[in-house]
Amino acid sequence: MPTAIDTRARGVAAMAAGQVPYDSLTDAEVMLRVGAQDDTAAYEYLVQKFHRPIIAFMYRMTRNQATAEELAQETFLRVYRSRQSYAAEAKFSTWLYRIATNLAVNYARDHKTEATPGKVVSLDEPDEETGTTLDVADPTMNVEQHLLRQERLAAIKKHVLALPEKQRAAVLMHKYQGMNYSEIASVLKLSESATKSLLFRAYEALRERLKEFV
Amino acid sequence: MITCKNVRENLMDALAEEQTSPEVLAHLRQCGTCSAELDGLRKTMSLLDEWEVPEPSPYFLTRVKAHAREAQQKAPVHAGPLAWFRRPVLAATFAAVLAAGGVVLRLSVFQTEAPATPQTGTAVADIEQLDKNADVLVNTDLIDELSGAPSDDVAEP
Ligand SMILES: [Zn+2]
Repeated sequence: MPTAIDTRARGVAAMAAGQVPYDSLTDAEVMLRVGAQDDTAAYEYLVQKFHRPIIAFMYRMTRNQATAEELAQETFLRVYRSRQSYAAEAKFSTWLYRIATNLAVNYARDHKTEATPGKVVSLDEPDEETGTTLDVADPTMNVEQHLLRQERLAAIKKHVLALPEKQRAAVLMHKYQGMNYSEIASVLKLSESATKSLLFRAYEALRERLKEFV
Repeated sequence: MITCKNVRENLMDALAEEQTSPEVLAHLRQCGTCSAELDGLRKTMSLLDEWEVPEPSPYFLTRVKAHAREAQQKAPVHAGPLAWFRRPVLAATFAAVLAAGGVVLRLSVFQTEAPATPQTGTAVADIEQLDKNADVLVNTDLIDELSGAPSDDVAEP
């Protein structure tokens, strides 16, 4: 586990080598360099750091990996295009998720029919929307357990996707992006208590609809 | 006297193991309904762990970097009124082009990436559609719009 002193020491060494030690700066400081100095290495550092969580967020918002990557790419492009208007008032990640959530919600609104709660989800096939088989057969599982797991996964996806957009975004940020109530609140521009009640309603709905699996 | 309703309103704190008031904790210990609810929420949340995501495409980073380089070569789209004074070379270019082209510059900056007739209904077309709305802050307002929307309520199946 690197300590703050290690990080600082690495920073000094990197400075001496003529590189900028981005990991000793806050993400907001790195982003400010992108805007003020058009530092592309700083931008690439941020993309490298956040691309996996943003693609994952977009994938769970849209359930389609190709779309998720396109929307993630658009998110980072907007970050770049807005590099000079970024003000460090908000945490960088808050700003990034706000851009991402807007794009995802916009996309979801234009594709309402695909998100119909009653949509039939195939239980037997691999997730055709991703083009990959996520559910690698676990050798310790028998056929029945494997099918049950597929069914459970399909139900999870279906019911998360059926949540209203803002609830869905909140659940994804809370559950999978490791964000706390106050971070989610700033992304969604809600009070912390409104965020908690939004999440409570979302999890209540999921609990009710997924009860046969818990 | 704390009611089940008060406790339900505080279950998200209890889930996050944030400072949950002693009254709520005491209620949870003796009320079967509320503790079953908390337990159900916990189990629902851990059920969601099963949903994993695919690996990103190996070309994702390359594509994003290429797009950024392309964007960098163009004039800065989001320069504020004073921003270009920090960037003397671009400022000079910008001023020259402005003098020569006037409004044309503005149009070209905003339209460079959108093909003339994007197909509607595809993800790419949607993104291009969004692109036309060049200012990211315009779209940020969607979140404001969502804040009081009826979609806050759980849609019943
Ligand atoms: Zn109770």
